[in-house]
Amino acid sequence: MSKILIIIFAIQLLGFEVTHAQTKIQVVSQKISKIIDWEPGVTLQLKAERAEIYCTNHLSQTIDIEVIIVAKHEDKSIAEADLKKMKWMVDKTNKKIFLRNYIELARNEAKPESDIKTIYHIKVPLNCAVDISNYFGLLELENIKSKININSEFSKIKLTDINGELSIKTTFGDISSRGINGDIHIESNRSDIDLKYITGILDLHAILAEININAIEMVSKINIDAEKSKVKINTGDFNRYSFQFELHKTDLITPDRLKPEFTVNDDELIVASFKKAKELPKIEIKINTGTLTIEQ
Amino acid sequence: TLNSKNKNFNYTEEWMVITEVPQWEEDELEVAEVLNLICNENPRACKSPEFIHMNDELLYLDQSKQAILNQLSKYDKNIELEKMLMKIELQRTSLIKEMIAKTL
Repeated sequence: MSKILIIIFAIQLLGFEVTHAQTKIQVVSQKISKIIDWEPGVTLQLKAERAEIYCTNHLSQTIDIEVIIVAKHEDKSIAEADLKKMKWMVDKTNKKIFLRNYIELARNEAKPESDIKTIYHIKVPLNCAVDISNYFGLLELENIKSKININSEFSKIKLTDINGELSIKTTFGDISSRGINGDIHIESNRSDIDLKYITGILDLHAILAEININAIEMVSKINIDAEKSKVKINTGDFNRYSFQFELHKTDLITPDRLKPEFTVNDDELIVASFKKAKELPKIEIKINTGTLTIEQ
Repeated sequence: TLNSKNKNFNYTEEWMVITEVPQWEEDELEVAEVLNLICNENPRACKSPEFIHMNDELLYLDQSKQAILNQLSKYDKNIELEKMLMKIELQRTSLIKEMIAKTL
């Protein structure tokens, strides 16, 4: 026995990894499903917190909602009590279907100890306008043709195959997208932005962001106004675009063959343009403190 | 329509390694004290619009950091939240250094 103890001690001394003890966690969940008739002109508005939201189109004229509230804790009774603190509601008016989840505490009631989150799976009809705000969590929109408005705080945003007017306001919520066609307006605060395959018009205002834009062959206009940000645009063939730069305390990196005409070019300010032809898609970039990289 | 009173609870179990929520230094008070001391030495610099703007920015970052800290859970991996905290801490550090430099 003592030999076994010596061996165990030696193994620990030599720093071999010892398996950490696993703990059994109680997971209490509640699932609610609802199908709501939709008419053209009605907007779906969702106000969420601590939520993962997955939304896509379907061919029906209904809004199909599945809400799962999950609470995790070692103690089942605590998980269940905490789950009940997460409230969920749905309301319908003439022009709006309103969903909301929130933590509600009774007087002197302690806030939840469990890890609680709400998971939404939503299917909306084509052309059903969507207005989503989320505080902490994740938002994934895929294959949606409609007007979309997003207000996100501390919540990542993932967009795939979106068609329509898109307006995003995000704080501490990174955006990644693949395939957006439409009129795109983004206001970003401390959120990184990664956009690929854009068609249409992009108007982007950002503070403290790393911005990467790729595959813009079908874009008709890009306007970027950024502060304390790194901007990188892969243009493919840069001769296809007309560029306008106004860069304050910003490094400019371009391919060798891209020769901008500099109106001002000193340590503090760069004002330059490249191919001013009216028929070409315009890329206008204004940055105050940062870097701008044009790649091909 | 409030309909979360519907029972239909589902019970399952998971196994996980529980680690205590990582401690992120909450040095907001110490930083505020240091800045107060420095501003007592150089009140003019601290009254400039630029310094006031940086201070507002710092307060905003402190509030954002607290909001994230309140969301950390030992029953979650907290990966995304920790990435956000890292970004905030880097921004705070850079800002604090800039504020101190302004007063010297």
